[in-house]
Amino acid sequence: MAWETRNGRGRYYTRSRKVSGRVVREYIGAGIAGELAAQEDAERRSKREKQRSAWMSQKREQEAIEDLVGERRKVLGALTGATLLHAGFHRHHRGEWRKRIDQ
Amino acid sequence: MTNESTTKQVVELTRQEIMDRAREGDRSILPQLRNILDEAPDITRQLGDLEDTAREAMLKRTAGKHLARREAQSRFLEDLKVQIAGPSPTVLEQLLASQIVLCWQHLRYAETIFAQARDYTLTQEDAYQKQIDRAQRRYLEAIKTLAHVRKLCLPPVQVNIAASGGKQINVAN
Repeated sequence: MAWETRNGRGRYYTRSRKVSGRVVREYIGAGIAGELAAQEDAERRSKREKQRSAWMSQKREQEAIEDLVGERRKVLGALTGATLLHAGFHRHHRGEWRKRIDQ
Repeated sequence: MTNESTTKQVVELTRQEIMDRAREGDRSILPQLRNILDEAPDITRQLGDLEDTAREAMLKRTAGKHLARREAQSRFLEDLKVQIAGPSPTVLEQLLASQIVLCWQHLRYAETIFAQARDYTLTQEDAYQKQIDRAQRRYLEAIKTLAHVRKLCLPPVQVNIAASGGKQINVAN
């Protein structure tokens, strides 16, 4: 979308960037200068997209592993609580586990 | 002819709710809890599956296709588990020791990923750090739980290995 045609007189390459929150369009030029700038931008975009894709993939992997570890922690926590209850312990004011005096 | 119907509302707690309330120390759910404990092999199998899946996923990342490294890491983790569990551990202690090792492995994994990362943004760095913090918290919590259970000297849990290979757990009273 960075190539523009004005009044049917050739193609110009432009770059858009933000300056103090406003979009400013910079005219690079036509011909070889425009082609080089377009190529440079395409390479930069491709690199950024690859990095983003790698990050997203890694993030998904990390989240999946963290979910597994968290799920095991949850089930084991419940099993520990269940075993303690079964053995006659109780949680003192929802805090530490203590042996019931009547047992 | 009139049809008299009585509406009986049966409120059944789900297994997750019972386990959550057990964790909170609610004694009112002891009868349901005993039923769940009778199904303990199912729970230990679930814990084993979760451990295996998580461990393999992390080994895949930290050892890659390097078989010797993978085997060495795997053996180290098994040795660590045995050392933490100590001599003649109860089943619960074994499970808690496994959790400590799994959390330790997760912490190492998170640190490795962070160390290997290149050209990350501030947001990504923040995400890495938070993951490391969470992993560290879980690791310390797992150690604390095992220490606490040992301090309370819980009755041993007997494990019977069924002929089919499945585990049957009985809590000794």
